[in-house]
Amino acid sequence: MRRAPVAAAAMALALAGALLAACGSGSHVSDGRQGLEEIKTRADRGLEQVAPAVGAAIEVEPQRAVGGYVQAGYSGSTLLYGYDAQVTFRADRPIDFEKVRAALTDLGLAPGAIARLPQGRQGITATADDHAVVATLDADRRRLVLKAKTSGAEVKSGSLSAEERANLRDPKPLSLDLD
Amino acid sequence: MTTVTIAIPADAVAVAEVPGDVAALQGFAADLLTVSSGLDDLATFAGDVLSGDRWDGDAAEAYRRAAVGTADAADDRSLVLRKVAGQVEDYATGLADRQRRRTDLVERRSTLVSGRQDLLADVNAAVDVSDAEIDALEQRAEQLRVSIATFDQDHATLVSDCQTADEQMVQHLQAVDTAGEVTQSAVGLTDPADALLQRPGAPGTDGATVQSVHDWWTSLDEAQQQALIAAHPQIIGNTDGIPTAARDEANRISLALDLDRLETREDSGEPMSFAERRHLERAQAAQTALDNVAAREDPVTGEALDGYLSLYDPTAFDGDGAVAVSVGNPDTAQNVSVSVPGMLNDGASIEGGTESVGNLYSTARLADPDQSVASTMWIGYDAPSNFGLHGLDTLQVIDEGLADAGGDRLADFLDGMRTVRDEDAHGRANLTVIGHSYGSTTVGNAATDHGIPADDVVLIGSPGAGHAADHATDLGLPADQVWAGSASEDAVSHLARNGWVGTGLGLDPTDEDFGAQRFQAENVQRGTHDWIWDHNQYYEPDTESLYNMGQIVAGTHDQVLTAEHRHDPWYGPMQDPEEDRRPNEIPTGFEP
Amino acid sequence: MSGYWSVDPGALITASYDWRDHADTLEGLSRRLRSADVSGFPPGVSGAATTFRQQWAGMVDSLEATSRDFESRMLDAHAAYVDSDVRSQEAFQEWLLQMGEGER
Repeated sequence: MRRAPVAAAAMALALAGALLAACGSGSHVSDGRQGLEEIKTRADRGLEQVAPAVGAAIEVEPQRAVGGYVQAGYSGSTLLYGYDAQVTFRADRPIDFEKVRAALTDLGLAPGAIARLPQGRQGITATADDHAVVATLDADRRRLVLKAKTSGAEVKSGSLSAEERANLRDPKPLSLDLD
Repeated sequence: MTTVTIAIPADAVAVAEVPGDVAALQGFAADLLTVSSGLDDLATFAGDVLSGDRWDGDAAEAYRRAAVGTADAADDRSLVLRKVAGQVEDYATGLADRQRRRTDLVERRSTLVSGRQDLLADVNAAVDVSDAEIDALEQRAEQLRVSIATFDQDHATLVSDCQTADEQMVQHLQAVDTAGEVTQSAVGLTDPADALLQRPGAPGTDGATVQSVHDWWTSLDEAQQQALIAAHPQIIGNTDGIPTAARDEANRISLALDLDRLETREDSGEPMSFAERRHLERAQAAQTALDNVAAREDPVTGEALDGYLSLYDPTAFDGDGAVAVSVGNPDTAQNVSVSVPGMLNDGASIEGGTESVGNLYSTARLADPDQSVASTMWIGYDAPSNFGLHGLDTLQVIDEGLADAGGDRLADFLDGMRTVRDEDAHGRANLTVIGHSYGSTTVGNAATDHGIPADDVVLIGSPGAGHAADHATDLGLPADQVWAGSASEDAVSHLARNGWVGTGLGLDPTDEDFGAQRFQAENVQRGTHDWIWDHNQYYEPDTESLYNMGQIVAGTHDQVLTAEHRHDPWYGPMQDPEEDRRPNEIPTGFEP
Repeated sequence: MSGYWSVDPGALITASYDWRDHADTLEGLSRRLRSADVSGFPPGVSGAATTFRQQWAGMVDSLEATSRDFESRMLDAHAAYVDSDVRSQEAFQEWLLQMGEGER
């Protein structure tokens, strides 16, 4: 287990640091619109890496690849954006979820154990350097959604028009090489 | 063979259209009331230009006389326009009724037409029938004749009512569409608003309480309430004890007037002061938040959502601003939540804050689709934010002063929500209060110092549950109705006082000794981004925390995914078992 | 004329700004009225509603113009008081200078 900070003064300083970090730039992503581009590129690249391996492992062709931004939270008047790139696999027989986990392991992503989720779903989470990979299997085990998720883009509230915001969250087809 | 003739009545007349758009008319009435309110402001100002006693003499007197003339003109126009706004509102209400009647008539006519066709077919088919059967057919024909006659009469009445209402509306509009007519029409009109505010129990009177304000408000008739909304929107919009719909109507007027003034200034290219820019930024954030709510759909019914601006004071707290937006109506919904944000939040944060409670609304609706929901983001206290006019007030975060004051305000706001609810009509609300970050300290202090009428309390990303909460039950609820969620890498949550060290904001509510129920709140992207993100993603769609908060708000507690508590022994550093658990994405079931 | 007067010139500037604020609000309200949606009325009423809307925008415009007048007249009044003060000051300073020269 990770050790927590041990001195009050250090924690107070950490808090001040947190506040300043929150209103300044993220450590890995550029501010504003450029940051939005960066997190999309990372997630798309992540999906391109995992989707072919998972598809091959379960012997199912990817059906629909889409990407969209999600407003992940906010800090003061700064909106925090994440981005999900996802592909769906539909099979006519139950998918062996262990094979998905094995494929992620082979890619060096060190996935966690298969988790039981609400509504009978199952999930696997894996983490790469700059993105997370999530596989979710429906209760009937015939529909698998594979996502590469990124976050870290910070956009000032009011700097995006209503149309731009709607456009960001509107999922768009991805033209990625996923086979 | 004898031939019997059965007279079958002609079809009912086709139902006439009842054209008109009620929502658009209500929008028009709201615009008129906003203009009336702006004119009332001008009349008040121009009627009292020398109140400060800083200019005296003949020139000052000449100025005063000139200004009084303008005040009179503005007052006349304000009162007349307020009256017309009420007439348009009444017309819209009548139109809605007439359109309902038309819908009923369309259904009745459909029944009559098919009944007539059936009768016609039966008569044509009647060969070699008995006298009794002929009697039955004649009776059906007679009943049909009576029904169609009644229908035709009702239809004629509807057409006549439409014509009368339209003619009356035209007369109202044409009676006051020149300056001369307005002046004439204003004779005898008086503004009751100021006198109403002097009545016992009214806002600002000695000894006024949330309950007395509510009693005062409900003692007023609709016209008096409208007068107060138009003349004193800042008071009506921001006083606990006034129903949410009225607060919303008043605050939208204040917001519209702010935007009209400050956007005109901005468009003119003239320099704006720092305070004006901050004011405009907060007004625009509130408008954007309301627009965003209107663009959302209920995930169960697909209907557009209603937003309520239940607090709007952009100049409060030295210009940081106070604001609250509800997704859904908390006065009528079954499952109601109030979210209190923490550090860095001020009036400009309401856009992001409303998105968060919009996500919570949707998750709670899907958790129990049979129950209605209202989720409020309440930024009604002076949270430690960035730069106030008097400096960097984030430095205040280390003490509880702002949380104490905030707890006071929050307790009043929650009392107001309970007080204004008509429980006979809507039942008792299942109320969940959620505090995030320093907002959790504020919620803790509100609960321990004042008592809050919550059914559940949720503390997320908490740097401490407040000075007087040694145990979950100190919040005035059974421990199983106090919930805590903190991501293991949320550094702000590590600032709570655990075993032997802390920053003075209270105990960590996720600690086992505190006794609250801890729920899973890890983020799948843990470790892939700037660490402060783990403190700000509790309302993100498809996360453990949003899913769990949705279940708590909906009352589906058995669906909450609980987590092992933190442990902070006196002899060593804090230990968090959640750090070793892989986070999961929990589909919250809606497209954000 | 009473002959008595007193003034805090700053009050005139403040009043001018207040009038400007009201004028800006009225300009925005006029725009709001002109673009107010009257499509909710049926055809039999919409003509009267459109006329009403235009006429009232004009009434608001006239109050805006008056407010702008007040704004500039208060500035003029402020300038006149300040100008009077400056001219008096200059006159005394000139006199003082002349008195000094006489003494020499």
